[in-house]
Amino acid sequence: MSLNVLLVDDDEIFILLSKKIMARSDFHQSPLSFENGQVALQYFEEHYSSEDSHAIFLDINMPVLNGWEFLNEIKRFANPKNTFVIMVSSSTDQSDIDKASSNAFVIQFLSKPLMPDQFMLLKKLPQFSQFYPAI
Amino acid sequence: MGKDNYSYNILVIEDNPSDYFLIQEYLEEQMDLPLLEHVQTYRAAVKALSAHGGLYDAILLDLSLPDANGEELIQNILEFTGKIPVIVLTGHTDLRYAVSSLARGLADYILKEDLNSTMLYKSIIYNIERYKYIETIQDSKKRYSDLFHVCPIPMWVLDLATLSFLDVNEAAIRNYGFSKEEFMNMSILDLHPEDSIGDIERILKLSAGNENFYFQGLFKQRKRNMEEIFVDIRSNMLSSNDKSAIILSNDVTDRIQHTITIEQQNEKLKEIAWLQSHVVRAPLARMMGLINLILDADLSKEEQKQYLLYTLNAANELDDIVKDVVNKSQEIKLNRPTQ
Repeated sequence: MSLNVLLVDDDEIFILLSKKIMARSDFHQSPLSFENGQVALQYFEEHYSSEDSHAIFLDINMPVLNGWEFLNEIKRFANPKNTFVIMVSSSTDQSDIDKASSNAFVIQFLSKPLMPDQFMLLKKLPQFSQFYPAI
Repeated sequence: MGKDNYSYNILVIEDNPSDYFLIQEYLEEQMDLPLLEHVQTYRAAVKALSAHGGLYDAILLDLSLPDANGEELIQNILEFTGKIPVIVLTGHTDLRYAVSSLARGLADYILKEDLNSTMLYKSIIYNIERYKYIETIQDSKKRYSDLFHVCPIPMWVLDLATLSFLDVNEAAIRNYGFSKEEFMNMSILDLHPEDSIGDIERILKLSAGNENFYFQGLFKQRKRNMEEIFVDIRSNMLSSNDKSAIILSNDVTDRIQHTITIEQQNEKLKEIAWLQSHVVRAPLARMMGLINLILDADLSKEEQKQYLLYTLNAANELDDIVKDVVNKSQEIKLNRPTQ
């Protein structure tokens, strides 16, 4: 049983920064990144396993398949018990937060840029704490 | 019962001295001090009426004068008498003229052989009162008519069965550009563009048989020059027979145009607000992340330079977005209503 981390965002600088910070804060050393919801969905559907845990950092505004559409698609095969979505947006509309809070997959709504202390807090969440026995 | 002590001013047009004497007798029996002016010809009568026509309370007219008689005499005299009751004193020969003239403004006629004091007195005071009453009614009618015609808001009376105009006021003629005659040959539907005719028919159906029907609504209408206007229509049933309605049409085009302009500006402002929160925040968030990384980590010179370049790109992107916001704000200024 392991933790798979997916980064879904069309902003490559954000991907680059997030990867750096994830590695530095020991959240994950090898997250997979996708430039839109469509390619992420394709990969996730093929590689989804019910034994593993999946953390998905999901941007809202993306071409091809946006964050909301992605969430709608994964309902078909993924289980909210092991699939944890962290919505990431450069701006926070209250309507987006409300929409996210009613989705079974979404556990957090974070504003960009992602910072090391945010990952420290994520590691303490019950969904992830088992993967970080040291703390 | 005592004599009437009001001093009646009466013009007596009578060429027969004995008849005049009789009239004078009869009047003095009933009145304290009748002020009689006696003339014997049509010419003299016209002269008296032109000089102080407004003075008389009543006119007594004999139908056979040396210079005029019969129907022609009645018609000519009536042209000078205006609001003064004219009572004809006639023999059998001219009776039919007198009767037919009642419809044309003659107050009364009395056959000379029937003439007596009470009858003459009664006819005079009865007609004086009647004429006063008619004048009051006409005044009030004119006041209401004026109220309709000079009202600064366009108004009309609509026949609900034929949808034609029964009357329109000055303001309506001014605002729509149709002449009164054109209005009278039009239907209310002629004011409405095709797409609103269904609404009109629906409202008319609702109003049918409902004498208390009141309606208010906003409509698009067309002027004579085909210019489209927005009007706030209010209508009330005019009479209890639910056959006609009085309609007030307030032109609110300027107000609506103003609202449309403001709504368009609101859309622009919303767009700007969205830009601010979404688009501006994206490069800013990127810059914040990059700078944090540059500050925090042990990066190689190469990496540092690379991240600084990314930061500069993000700053340029932000600059473009701010310029866009400024342009959009200026569009709003340009669209500001001229008032």
